[in-house]
Amino acid sequence: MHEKSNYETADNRIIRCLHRGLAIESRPFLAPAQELGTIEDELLEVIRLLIANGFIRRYGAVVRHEQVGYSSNVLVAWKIPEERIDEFEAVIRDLTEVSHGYERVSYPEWPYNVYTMIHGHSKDECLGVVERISGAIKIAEYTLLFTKREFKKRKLDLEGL
Amino acid sequence: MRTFDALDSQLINLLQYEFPLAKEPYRELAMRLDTAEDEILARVRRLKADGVIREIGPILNSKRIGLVSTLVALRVPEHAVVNAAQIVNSYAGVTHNYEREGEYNIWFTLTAASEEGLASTLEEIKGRIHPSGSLVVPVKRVLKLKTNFKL
Repeated sequence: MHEKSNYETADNRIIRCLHRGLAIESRPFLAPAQELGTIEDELLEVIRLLIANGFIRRYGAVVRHEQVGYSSNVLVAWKIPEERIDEFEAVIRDLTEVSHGYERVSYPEWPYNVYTMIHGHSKDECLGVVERISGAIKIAEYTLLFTKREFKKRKLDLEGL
Repeated sequence: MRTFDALDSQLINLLQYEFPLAKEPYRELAMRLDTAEDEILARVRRLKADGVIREIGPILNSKRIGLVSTLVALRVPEHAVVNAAQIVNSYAGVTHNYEREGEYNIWFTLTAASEEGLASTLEEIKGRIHPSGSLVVPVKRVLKLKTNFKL
């Protein structure tokens, strides 16, 4: 199991068990290890392999941005020429206010092809970051997709898929 | 906005960036922060109860584990937004769902076990909501993905 790195052998059952997260207790890996019929050291080794093989991006705490001071955010859709996406990537790379950047499919009626999630302590601070990026890349074709209402934000329900 | 004392800040950073993959991770964190394991456990429990920490676990690469996903935008009339959002919310593969400013006003992410499953779920959602317009915008390339915040 350990040497292989495709989904079938990474074992659905282990992924699903780990995905439920840890209880906050002294030996948090004990219960999941028992559930999987193994011991803590073995489970920890499996987790390291899942990280090394890219199934797990990182292991640790997920914090709520709005609780650590980033009370405002904006999704920005940009129209960036294909050949300048690398340049755009370099601009957002070191900006701590930018958490996500994706090149996505675009359409004639929706020409925006790059999306960034920008966080700040206020709406003005977010807009300031957008202007800094726009100024740095000298591209002003973007649209601001401010949140009006949050209807759902949760981790993936693997069991429900 | 809430403030954190120095120990909380250090702890939140370590929990995100250097969570010890060890039998007794909080004992190790306590040693690094020069305090007692019970103190660390009490603080982590409080941070979780307060909603600062959503969870401690793996951040999965959904594509790598064989799942497919996309961002979807719908255009629905103002009066139909709540009903449409509730329909979208009812699907297990939906992790994020927002009403946003602009031409397309409902934006959600949808994940499925296969391309076929993704397409059929999308058709079903559209068939139930009848949006006047829709966009399906899957990722072509990840430019940046930072799931942690340094305090």
